Amino acid sequence: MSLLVVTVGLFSLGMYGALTRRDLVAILASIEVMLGSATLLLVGLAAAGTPVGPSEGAVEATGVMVIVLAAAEAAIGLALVISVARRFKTTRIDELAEVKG
Amino acid sequence: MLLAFAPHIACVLGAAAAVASDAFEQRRAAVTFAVAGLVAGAALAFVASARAPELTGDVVLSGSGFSAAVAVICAIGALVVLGSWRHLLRAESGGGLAALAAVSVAAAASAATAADILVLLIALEAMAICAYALVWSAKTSASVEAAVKYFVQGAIATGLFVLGLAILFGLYGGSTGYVWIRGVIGTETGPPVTTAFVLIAAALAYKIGAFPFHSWALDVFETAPPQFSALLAGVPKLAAVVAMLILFSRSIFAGLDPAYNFWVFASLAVLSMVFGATGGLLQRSYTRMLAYSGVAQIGYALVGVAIGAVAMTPVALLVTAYALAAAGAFLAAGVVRAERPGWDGTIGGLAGIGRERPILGVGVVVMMFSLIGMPLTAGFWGKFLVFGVAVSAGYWWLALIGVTASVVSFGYYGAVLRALYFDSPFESEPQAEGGERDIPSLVAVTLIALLVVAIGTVPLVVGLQGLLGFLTFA
Repeated sequence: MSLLVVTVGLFSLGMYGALTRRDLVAILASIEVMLGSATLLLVGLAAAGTPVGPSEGAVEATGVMVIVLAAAEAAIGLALVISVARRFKTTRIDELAEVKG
Repeated sequence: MLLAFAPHIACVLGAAAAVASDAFEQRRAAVTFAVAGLVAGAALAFVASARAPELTGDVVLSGSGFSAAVAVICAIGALVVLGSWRHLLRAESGGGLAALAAVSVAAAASAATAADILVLLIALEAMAICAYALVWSAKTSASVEAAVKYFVQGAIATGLFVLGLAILFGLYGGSTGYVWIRGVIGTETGPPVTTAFVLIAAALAYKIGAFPFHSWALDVFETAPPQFSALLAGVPKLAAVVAMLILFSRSIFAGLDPAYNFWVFASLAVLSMVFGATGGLLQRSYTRMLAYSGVAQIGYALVGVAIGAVAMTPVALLVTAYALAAAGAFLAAGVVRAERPGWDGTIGGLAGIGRERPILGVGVVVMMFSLIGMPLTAGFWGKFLVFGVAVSAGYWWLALIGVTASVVSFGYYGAVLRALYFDSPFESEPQAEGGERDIPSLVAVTLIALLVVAIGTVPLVVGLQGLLGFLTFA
């Protein structure tokens, strides 16, 4: 139970950051916190020995997959942020005003 | 067993060959490999669609409608990459872009047939990562900004999905297969299941660009190279909608109260239809108008998702029709941009194209008619069947909103038709020189138009059963 509270708390923290911070690097870090909290939930559950299913080690494998996913996302995210920084000379998302959204 | 994965493998092999050719500066070969991989994928999936449905290795579904959906996805991908030929030969690292397009199609094919929630997550993420890069590749300030905003929102959606997966899997799992999770959950509807449902539904609603998760779509489709908008507007949405149908009405969440399922998706559907139909009326940009039209079309598809399993074939048909028409409409924008380099992207700027370029004009007319849902086009059958299912399920008001939204949306599709045929180009504005014909794109638009008309008219002759049978998920 405490595991769930910690991970959902961490996730909410990350989501709050991703939605409110205006700097792209900070947003990227917040997104990593979101994904990290989900990984923590998986790892914590695996350590606690629940749940038991047909495929042994499925929880750990899923955790590893989520880490790989987070890395891939960080890679393309950083590439985009660098591209923005070069072009606009800023990484603040509210200073970009080319498009309407 | 092998046939189940063969289409995906063909697409990825095509992409790998494209990357290798691009490394040797063989750009023409790279694009050819990508198209060949996608065509092979479509052909293999078409062959597999004649077989009975099966669950292969607990990972993907194949056979019947599932393979048919893969065939449609690969075929549209092949047509779009073929239509991007000229763009890809000129763009910087065009071979790599062709490979990215092929990978995103392979990922879409995997997402549409996933029978394992981890496979679905990875496929959606692969699709999204390719999409960010393709949007960015226009390298204008607007497209870089649209790409980064798309990325931020997409990453948050992925976060929601991952948490949903972790809760679902952590508390009920042991295996990530749909069948297993469905068995463990049974008919339980406690807080963890509903939380996971809300998180995953929100993430998927974001992927398909349903209101209120649509804001990325408007900027992305307006600013990305039109050739890539053609790919991203239809194919990923088709995949995500099929995945939603499998997830929510056929497997993991099928045990939830149907009323709960209904109200979540029906409210998204109504909001998307109303927003997409009315918002588009105010747009001057052709591609931004198409983005709004996409939101409305997803609303019509969500009507079917709300109703559930009985609407599966109609919804798949509707989204197929949308994906075809959107691909054609965006490719047409690419053709116009090549021919009139001075085009400002507005609907008014299309003035006189219909008379100057009869084939292109007729192609755009077919796409617009299909998006409206006019009889004799593919779009008609999609809307007719989805609204028909809604009425027979007793939700006539949902169908009524859908039909009303379609009538309202005629305002912006009609504006395109008026510009094409009835407006004359401004005399005072000299036509910019240096325009070129984009023959491959024109060929792709023509092929798509022929397909749209064939799907619309052939059932009138041979009956609707053949068409429905192709996309039957049983």
